[in-house]
Amino acid sequence: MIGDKILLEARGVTVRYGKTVACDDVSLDLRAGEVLGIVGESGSGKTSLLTSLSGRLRPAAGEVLFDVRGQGLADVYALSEPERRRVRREEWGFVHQNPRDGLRLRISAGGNIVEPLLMCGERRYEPMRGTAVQWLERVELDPARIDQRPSQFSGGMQQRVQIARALAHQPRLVLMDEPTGGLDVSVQARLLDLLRGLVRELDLAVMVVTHDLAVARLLADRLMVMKDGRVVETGLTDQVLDDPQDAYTQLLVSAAM
Amino acid sequence: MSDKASLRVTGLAKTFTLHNQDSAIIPVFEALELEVSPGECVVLAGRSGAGKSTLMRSIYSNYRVSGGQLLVRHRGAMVDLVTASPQQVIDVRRATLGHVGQFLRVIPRVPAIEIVMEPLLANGWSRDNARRRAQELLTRLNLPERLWALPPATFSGGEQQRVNIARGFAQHFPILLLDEPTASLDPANRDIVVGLIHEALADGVAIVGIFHDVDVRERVATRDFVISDFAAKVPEESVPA
Repeated sequence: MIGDKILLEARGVTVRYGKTVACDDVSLDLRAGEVLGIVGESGSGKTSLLTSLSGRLRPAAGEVLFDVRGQGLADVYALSEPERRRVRREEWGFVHQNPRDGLRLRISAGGNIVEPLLMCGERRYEPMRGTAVQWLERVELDPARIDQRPSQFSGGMQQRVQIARALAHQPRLVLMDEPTGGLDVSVQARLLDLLRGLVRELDLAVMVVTHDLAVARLLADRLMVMKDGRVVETGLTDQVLDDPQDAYTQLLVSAAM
Repeated sequence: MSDKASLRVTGLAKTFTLHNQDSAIIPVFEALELEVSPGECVVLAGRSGAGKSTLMRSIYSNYRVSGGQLLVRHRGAMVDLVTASPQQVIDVRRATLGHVGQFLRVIPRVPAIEIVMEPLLANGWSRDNARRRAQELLTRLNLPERLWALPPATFSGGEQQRVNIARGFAQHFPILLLDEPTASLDPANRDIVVGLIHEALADGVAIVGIFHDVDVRERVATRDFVISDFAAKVPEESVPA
């Protein structure tokens, strides 16, 4: 069920690299229980937008607001640095395209899953180990492999460890960048099915950046189509994909297999 | 205009603009008026290409209309789907407005029975109750039990269609849009679907349907709706000289 309360809001966010405008005057909002997909080809500005929304790239103009626990809607970039780090660590989860960017390769799978919990203040060994086992099962990995390092896992399995790591500390907002990027089609399908289930079960607010319209169709309730840093079309996922209005979206949809 | 209409369409217009094909403009219908009350089954009539499926998809808000109002009675109030927020449209689709298309959208790895249960779970049913209801419908639609736990990607057209119908009829939608639900079914299963439609009508569901099968159409229709009465005029510049 989609809530009424806005969890994340962007108002006129503009990101520039020197003279290049990566992302131009983008506004959006996101509620709990809702998955927003950002689609567009490489270079359209979707990753810059995601990076800016995730508190790691201050926009040249505009505001990023998040419903900070106990505080309400607050400008992410007006928070103090420690507070912003706390929000990122405790209230948000991230899934990167390359699991190596989201995982620590020198510690075990179990360690990866519980590390964010540790950073949230959990210190007791037993509950942490229990959580790690639970999450391995949830992402369909053999809990017996809890002490193995990510390097001993296949790409698809690494991605599942990363998803477990991103969700185990019960974030309210999850930001995903091409979560099924470099994976085989069959592995992609398993992962998408897993993500779909988790989003519904945990009532998450999710923003997922992808260039794959099939992934967008399966995961997202709403879509935002970006081209050259601008939003060219928004709407319910099936509206945008089945009856695209904008010339660029029509091209994108007709080019998809 | 009746006060109890479940669906009221006024002044509806739909035009497709194909930007990448010389900005071709394809007008489908305009100033379309349609009202459907509980217990009515309005059958869309008209030749192929007249815009029957386009109207269905427009009512479901799958297609975006060019003008007009699409009022549905949702949780006791009339909601205009043309101006509603995306979140409202999602809620209307969850609780009020059901759609059974010609094809099942297969989701990788999700078993047939889960596909039927999904809308029930979204409406807060317990897993046990949702499973029982799904089993009841799949049994009634003669889908062999050995298929229930399998994803329907490899099913025949008729089997997929029955999963689709079970999903559409599992919960009580006050408004149902049926786009050729019996197209790929054998006569026995067609009769079962006709039975489901009659029960829904007796229950006060308002139905809009497309049925090519004359026999099915005559058995379920309470009224025909001729869509070509609202055919949009082709714009001047696209009429060949």
